[in-house]
Amino acid sequence: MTASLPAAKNIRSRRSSLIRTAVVAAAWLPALWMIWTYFFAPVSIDPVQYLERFSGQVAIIILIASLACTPLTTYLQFRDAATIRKPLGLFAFFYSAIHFLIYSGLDFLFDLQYLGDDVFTKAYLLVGLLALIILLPLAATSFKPVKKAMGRNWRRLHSLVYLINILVVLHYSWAKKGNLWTLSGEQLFPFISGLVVILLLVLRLPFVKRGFLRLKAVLSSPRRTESSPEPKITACSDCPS
Amino acid sequence: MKKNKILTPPIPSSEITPENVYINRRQFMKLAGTLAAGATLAACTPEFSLFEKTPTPSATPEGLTVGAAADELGDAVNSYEEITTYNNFYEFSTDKVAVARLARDFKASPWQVQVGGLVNKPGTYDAGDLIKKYTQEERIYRLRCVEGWSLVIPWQGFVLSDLLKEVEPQASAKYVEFITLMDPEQFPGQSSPSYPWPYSEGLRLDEAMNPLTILATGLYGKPLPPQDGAPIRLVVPWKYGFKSIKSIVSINLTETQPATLWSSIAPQEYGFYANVNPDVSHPRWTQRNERRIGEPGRRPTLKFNGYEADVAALYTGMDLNKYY
Repeated sequence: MTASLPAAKNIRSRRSSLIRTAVVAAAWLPALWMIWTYFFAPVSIDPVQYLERFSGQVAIIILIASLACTPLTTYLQFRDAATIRKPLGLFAFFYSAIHFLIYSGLDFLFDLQYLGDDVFTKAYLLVGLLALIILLPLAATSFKPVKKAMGRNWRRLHSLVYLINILVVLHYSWAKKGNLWTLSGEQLFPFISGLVVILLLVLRLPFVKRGFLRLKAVLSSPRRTESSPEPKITACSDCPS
Repeated sequence: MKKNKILTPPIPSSEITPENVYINRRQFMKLAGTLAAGATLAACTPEFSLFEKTPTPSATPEGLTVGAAADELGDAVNSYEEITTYNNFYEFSTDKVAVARLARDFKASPWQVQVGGLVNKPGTYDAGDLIKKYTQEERIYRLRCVEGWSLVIPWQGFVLSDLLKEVEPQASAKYVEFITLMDPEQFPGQSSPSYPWPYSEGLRLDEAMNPLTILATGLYGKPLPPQDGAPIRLVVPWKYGFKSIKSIVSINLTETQPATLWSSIAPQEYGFYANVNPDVSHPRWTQRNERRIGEPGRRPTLKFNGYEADVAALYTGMDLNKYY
């Protein structure tokens, strides 16, 4: 275990803030690209559909990345991940909101009749909208003073991010052509994102965490139990004599 | 703000086709096509596209011709660039924009179309011979994709019924099956296991014999570019775009309803008939509105894609919700 010497702590927190700055800077790039491509360099003759899909893909990737932060810290001791969880979460909200505004505004020109027709009759739009609505209070309560004021309830509220991830995978899958059960059509990527989300959720289960930490302790322990055999002594240039 | 409940957005009176022209639209189109045969329309300027960039000169052939600037409902014909740079052709790629680039070296000649099944005179036709044999005429059709966007396209082609009459379907023939070329070297997307290649589609015989159904061989007066289904493809304008199978190598008359690629992937979502119909939703998406490429916002989807007068008789008494 690394002892918290002042020097080590400084290096670690400087590295954290560098990583955090890099991640935040990178997370702005898709937004810049969207502005650039829409006004100056359209990718296709249907820029609205392109932006709709692109913003959605960015949102889901960032959302899943934010979900990966805690397991990265728990399992791989990558503590810097903890500092980027909040910005990633906020960017996920940002791109989800942009995605929704592109759909309702740029695509449908806020025509309530058309939007009502679609959104309230189709499951994929309903779960997408629901995910965004739930994401809203999470984004609003992301900030330190609010987090402090909420105490234990903050964690309870923010555990809704698990539900959001599931809703978003469903939204993605149901928006695409094909058959999820046979992985035909365009279901491969939604399926993979579903698997990743499931994995990231499973890794959070208490017994999985405990089992992993126990396994880690056993593997890194210098002492051997009587039941396991003595390791073979081979020539080793690195081994301490 | 109260909204007018009419389904069709009002168009300026200047755009309303005169009634006699509308009723005689097929004659009108034929006449316009004949008149325009010698004329050249510089279609390079993307008036109907959303951006200022013009297509690269090599992408737009010279001498593009089109008989009219709009379809029979007064909607503008989309530009050559729009029609040739946005293609659902998964045999090349699922990326609509990449298809044109990947299709550049596609060999559309020599090309044979085998016509057989329950016919008296089966045969194999060279695609070039088909173009010479049957009168090619211009058809300005709307193409409505199941995804919810649409284009107005000036096809050149001949009526499928010309070819079918020549091969003489037998009395037991009830359907026509179409199959696309199977060649993963020409079609890199056919290596994808996500689809049961080759692409296949089908029509009921009376749908195939309908005067609107054409085998298209050209676009804007030029041969079909590969990304649009060279050298020969089906166009059934009152059905969703996936029915208009591209790069056909085989046409077979059958007694039983043929399998189609999309309905074999998801039969509860993609039916055999696939008639454009705002009242029949895809189970997951609505079909009430669409985006016309080049226009902002959405517009209402028309029953049978606006071709109701020509094809509704094919479906009298049929439950369109059941036979989607």
